[in-house]
Amino acid sequence: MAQPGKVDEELGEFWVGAPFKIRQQHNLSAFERNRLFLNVAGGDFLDVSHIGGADSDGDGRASLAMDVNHDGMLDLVVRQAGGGPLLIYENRFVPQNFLRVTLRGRQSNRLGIGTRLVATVGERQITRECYPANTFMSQAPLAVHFGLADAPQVKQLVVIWPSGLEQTFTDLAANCHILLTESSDQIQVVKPGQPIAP
Amino acid sequence: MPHASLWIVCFLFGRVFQSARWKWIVGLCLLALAICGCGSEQTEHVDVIPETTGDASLVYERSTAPVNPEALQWSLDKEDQEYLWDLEHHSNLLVQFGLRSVGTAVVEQSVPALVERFSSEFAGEIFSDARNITINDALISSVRRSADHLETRPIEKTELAEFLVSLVQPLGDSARFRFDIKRIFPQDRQRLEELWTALVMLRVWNDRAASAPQEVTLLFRLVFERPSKERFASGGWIHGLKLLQVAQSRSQRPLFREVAADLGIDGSRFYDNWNETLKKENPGGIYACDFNRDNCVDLLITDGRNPPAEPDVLCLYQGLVGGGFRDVTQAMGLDAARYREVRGIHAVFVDLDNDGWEDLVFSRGDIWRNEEGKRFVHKKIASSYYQVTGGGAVEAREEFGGITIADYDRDGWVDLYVHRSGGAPKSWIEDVFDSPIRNLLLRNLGDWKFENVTQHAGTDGGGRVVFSSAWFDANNDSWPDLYVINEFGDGILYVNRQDGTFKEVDVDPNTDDFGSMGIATGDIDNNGHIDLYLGGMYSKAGSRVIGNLPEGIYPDEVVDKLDRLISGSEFYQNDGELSFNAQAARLQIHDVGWAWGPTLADFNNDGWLDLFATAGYMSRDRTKPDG
Repeated sequence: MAQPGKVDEELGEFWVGAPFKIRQQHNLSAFERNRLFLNVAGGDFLDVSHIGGADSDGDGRASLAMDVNHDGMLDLVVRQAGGGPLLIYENRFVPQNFLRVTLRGRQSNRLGIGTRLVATVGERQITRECYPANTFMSQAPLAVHFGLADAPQVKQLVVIWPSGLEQTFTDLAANCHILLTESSDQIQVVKPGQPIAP
Repeated sequence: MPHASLWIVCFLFGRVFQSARWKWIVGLCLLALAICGCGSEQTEHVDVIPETTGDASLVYERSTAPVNPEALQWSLDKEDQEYLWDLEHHSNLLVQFGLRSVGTAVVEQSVPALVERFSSEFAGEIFSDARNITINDALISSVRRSADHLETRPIEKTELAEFLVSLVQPLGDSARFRFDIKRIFPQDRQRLEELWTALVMLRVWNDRAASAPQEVTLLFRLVFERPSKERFASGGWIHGLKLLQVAQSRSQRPLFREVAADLGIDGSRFYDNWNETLKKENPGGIYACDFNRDNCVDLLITDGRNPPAEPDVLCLYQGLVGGGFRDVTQAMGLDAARYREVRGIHAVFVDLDNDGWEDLVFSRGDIWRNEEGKRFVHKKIASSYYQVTGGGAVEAREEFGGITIADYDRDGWVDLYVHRSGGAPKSWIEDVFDSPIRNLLLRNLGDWKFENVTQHAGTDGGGRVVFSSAWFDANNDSWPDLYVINEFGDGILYVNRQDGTFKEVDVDPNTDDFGSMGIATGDIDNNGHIDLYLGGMYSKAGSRVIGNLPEGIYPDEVVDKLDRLISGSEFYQNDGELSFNAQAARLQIHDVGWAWGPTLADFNNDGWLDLFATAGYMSRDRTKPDG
């Protein structure tokens, strides 16, 4: 079985002796851009990769979101196999309100892994879980992040701990990072650089 | 152009030779091999580059069994092979000689040059009753208009050309373009000299460094004369253009800016295939934590080198107030000498002893205890748990995979799920996974003791090839459930039965998420149910080739499976009650490329989770074709 058609070298077509040689000698899903899609009210996504500026065409692998500069907007960390092995992208979107929650379990595991949080923001309910996403050779931070758009507060935050305990907090001011402790009503505002006791 | 998807097909089918029970499987192998160039009338062994030193090469260590000469009789007819090859060749001609001049006319905003390419019988169509999706804020203006139910209306050719030019006019002089052919076929297979049809994506973008970033993306169906260099030299070869979708986006500035060096991390210390001879598939990972509980997120970066010549690199960067990072690897006791013995690029931070300080675990089974944020101390665990599976001992070697964490039995101790990518499946076409290397569920008993409960729990992954897994609450019963993805077939949802065991649920029996590499979870539509996004392989070339397989040559279910193999990432929308709907194609978040680890995060703080998706496998030469 010879090659079925002729190779047009002017077009860059090539013929390899074995499939495994392709990745040794040729492009294979090469120079594909990393992509950014913005969620439009839960029903659609828009591709904003180019205007996003985080569309490296290196060989992208792992990614995670974390707030590197403590401004309340999630930055982006990307690991690539080629074309820039580590990229940290500072978020330059229009700032909007947020609430960030760190959990301290007592009966539950100490870092609250598996806790579900349901925030009432305006008319919306936003559900997040405390699982440190380990999607592909990456792990996201533990703190649970809520974007609040222009809402000045979270009207109600229901916290369902792995122990089964359900706690409800009300009127949490936006743009804070807070620490919630299982079984405690206390809401402790935490700051970068100020360690919190375990 | 044609090669990437074919490589994928080769790659997969190369693995079923040993047990090819079905003629269509063998036939497809040979189709792939033939087009890819592996085919030969002699029995042929696939070349494998010898390992250099130690276990250096994750990339080249795979091999395949020799081609069974008897299998050749099931090959596609020579005519069919030539046909598929021909189509790909015509696709190349279309892009290189035909569409290049169209793209140039568009970015040069020349209506006459565009119209010149339209034939006298040209039939133009444009979407009517467009469905608009928009984002508008102080920075961003983005809109996608598409034909609702594919409804279009006729448009005169000059008017169409003026419309296309008007779309790119705001991009200015720095506009560049790229065409992607998603499908291509002659209208009559027997008469290649007659008209052809293609589904084409045109992307035009400007130089972000010079002005406000802008981009226009068009999706259209093109009817054209048989591609040839000679025909494309003159005009009038486009007989129809049906514009199905237009997307335009503009921002006053790029929404992200790369700042790693400014923050004190020198990226050049890490392995970069583009600068190295030995290409590693997955050099390393990124793991966030807050090991000193100071509310500045810290970052561990692992980097597999080429041992023993070059030891692996492990970097722990402490996050600083103000946003910088400081390398504290040595200071925290993660000394290179110790680490050289340990090795491992897959890691997880997890508080195993419930003291509130995140400990560090590598997937080879090494644990480092975090002593109150002051240092990490290597913790020797009696008889590495890593080496035990339900079937007995397995060799301890570096695997693709990692560790995900949850307190699955809600006893207050966080447990570990070690997912691994084992050997090749016996026959992925039949969903037969038989890798002896299984995943492990390790129940944390406290006091640094773990019990392997995999068999009892029923969560060994069934021999799937697992790069990633994710814990989440699928059915809102507060018990952690687990999704395990599969590179060579459908993933599986393990639903927690609340008694230490799990039941297997196929989240969507009508589709599968074949070829997934990464997974992200999150409630995308804020309906209170956590959704799943799976990063997997998309290939334009694969879509073209598989879309042009002769009718009836393989059973429908096999063609379906091939379609899914190259269809890209999947999104399972969770409607509750364990009801999931595959929505990636509808949402247009499926065709990312050769996709890996996606992230769901609310980047603009609007309360809706956005998606960042990485892509790309091996890039070699920008001047050479790709799929």
